[in-house]
Amino acid sequence: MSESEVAGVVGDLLTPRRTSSVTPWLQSLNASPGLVVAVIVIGVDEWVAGIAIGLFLIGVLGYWLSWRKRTYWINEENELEVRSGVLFHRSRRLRISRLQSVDIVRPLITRLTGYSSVKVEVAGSGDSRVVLSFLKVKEADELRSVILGLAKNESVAPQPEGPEIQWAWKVPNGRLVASLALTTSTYFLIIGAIVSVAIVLLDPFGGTGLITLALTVGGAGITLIGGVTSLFNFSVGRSERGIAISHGLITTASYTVSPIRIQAVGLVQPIAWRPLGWYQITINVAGTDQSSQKSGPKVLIPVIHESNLSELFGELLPAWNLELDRNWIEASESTRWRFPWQARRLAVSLDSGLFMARSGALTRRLGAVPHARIQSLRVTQGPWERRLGISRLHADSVPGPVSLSARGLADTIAVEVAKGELDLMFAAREVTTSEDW
Amino acid sequence: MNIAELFSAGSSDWLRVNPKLRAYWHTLVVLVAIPLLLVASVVLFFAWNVAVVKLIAFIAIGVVVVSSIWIWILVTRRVRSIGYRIEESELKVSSGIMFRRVVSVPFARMQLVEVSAGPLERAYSLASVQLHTASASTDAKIPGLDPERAAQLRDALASHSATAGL
Repeated sequence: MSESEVAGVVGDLLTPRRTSSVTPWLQSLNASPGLVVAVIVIGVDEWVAGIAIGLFLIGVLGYWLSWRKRTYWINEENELEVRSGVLFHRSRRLRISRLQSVDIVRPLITRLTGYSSVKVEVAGSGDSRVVLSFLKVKEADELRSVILGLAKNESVAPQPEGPEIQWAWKVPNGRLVASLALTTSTYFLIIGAIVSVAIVLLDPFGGTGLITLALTVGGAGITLIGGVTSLFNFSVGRSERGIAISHGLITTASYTVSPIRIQAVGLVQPIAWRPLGWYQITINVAGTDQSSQKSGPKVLIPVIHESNLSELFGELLPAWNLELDRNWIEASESTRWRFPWQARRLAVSLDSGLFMARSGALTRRLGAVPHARIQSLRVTQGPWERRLGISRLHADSVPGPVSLSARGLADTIAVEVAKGELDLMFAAREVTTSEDW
Repeated sequence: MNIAELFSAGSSDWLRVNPKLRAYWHTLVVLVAIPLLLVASVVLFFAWNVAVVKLIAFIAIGVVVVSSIWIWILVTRRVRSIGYRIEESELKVSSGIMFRRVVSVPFARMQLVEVSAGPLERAYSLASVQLHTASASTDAKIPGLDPERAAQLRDALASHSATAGL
């Protein structure tokens, strides 16, 4: 399409428009195989056929109402705006400058009829994807090329049809569910169940035990479902534009993060994951867009087996050299009077590239940050720590889930480590411009 | 270097803040305590006959008075504990009596230097300088500076950060 043609079609798209008017019918047909099966199973007679046709028409009516309210256009701020909702109005805006992909999707029914859907995805969390159903194949192609053309004109635009994913890792959904079921909320579930059983045993005819049980199970279930829907279909990959992360069942979030924006990496292992050798990898990402209230990605991968860690890090963060088997400086003996549970786990490690700190009794945590990306170094000491002769060393990173604090260092060692770390920070001073973080 | 030197305590080569900061913080203590005491007195006046309320109000007054006196006494040491120094390639700020801390910010990591002075600070002709990095946990605020000193410090830090490649 030539430039002027793009301009012409863009002109069309500047006013709100609906998708094709056959949409309600196609959507009903798309949903009706179940109906057909039901008719066949129950047996075809007048009543069943009548009810089936009735349901079909109700479906058409419902889809028609929602179709009538759904409009889309390209607004003045260069966003694809989609308004929808019969009872509750909903407006979604996808910034074309953050475009990730425009795909033409053709479910079976549309393949028979010459219609298709357009799936538009932008970078960001939450509502980062819309599917417009249904458009004539030609219209869909036009919409796609207009959006792609606009994205290319934007100065900050990434190339939407950019290089392919060179390497990808997908988290099996079964393992995701299992891993989330084995996190901290499980302990509350177990404790809640024990308490409930105790209450039932003490007071067999009162309802309190059952209510407690229902509340615990319900609470844990809601947490689990929330986690699963948000992290479903998790995939992380590498393309020339950076690390691509996408996940989500109902709303899909997809990000492309330049590796230089990853400021710190954390490994988290709840106690129940230990025998399974699973880890979660969290990240602190710099320069997430604060103006649009969208936070950047916090999880690099929700669950991964330890045997795959080196492959993952080798592909995604090759410069980091995340080797966990290293020279750890452990916490002082007296630390057990301040952190009784995790004293033996607390340790810090410096090598030429990374600052690492580990902690945690039940849930084990480990954080790693390259010296060049430590923003400032703090040493703190409370009154009780002072009595014990221990201090804490904090390597300050950009906001995010990974925290890098070395606790329980004997005073003399803390001074040494702090000096050593400062030297490494100065030596590793990379050319940081404001775009890098 | 031992840990006490790390936390500036007593060493002379750290720059100190203006002692007027003491008077400023004392005023703040009074300004917080007086409204609380007023509220308690009003409650006492209207509920003199209700034993429980009376008891609570007296406890509240006691807590406010005792903690105000305690903070009043600590302010002197607190002000003396604040020190900062500009090194070759970093700024160090240290403070705290009970909970001691020292933060070191390399000039190359500085994002912006902020000079601020609230109305009460201005009345005492004081200003604060705060350093920001990309990390929210960088806690490098120097209170109690003369406005001219604050401006000098800001310019010095800005020129350092410029040479550090920001």
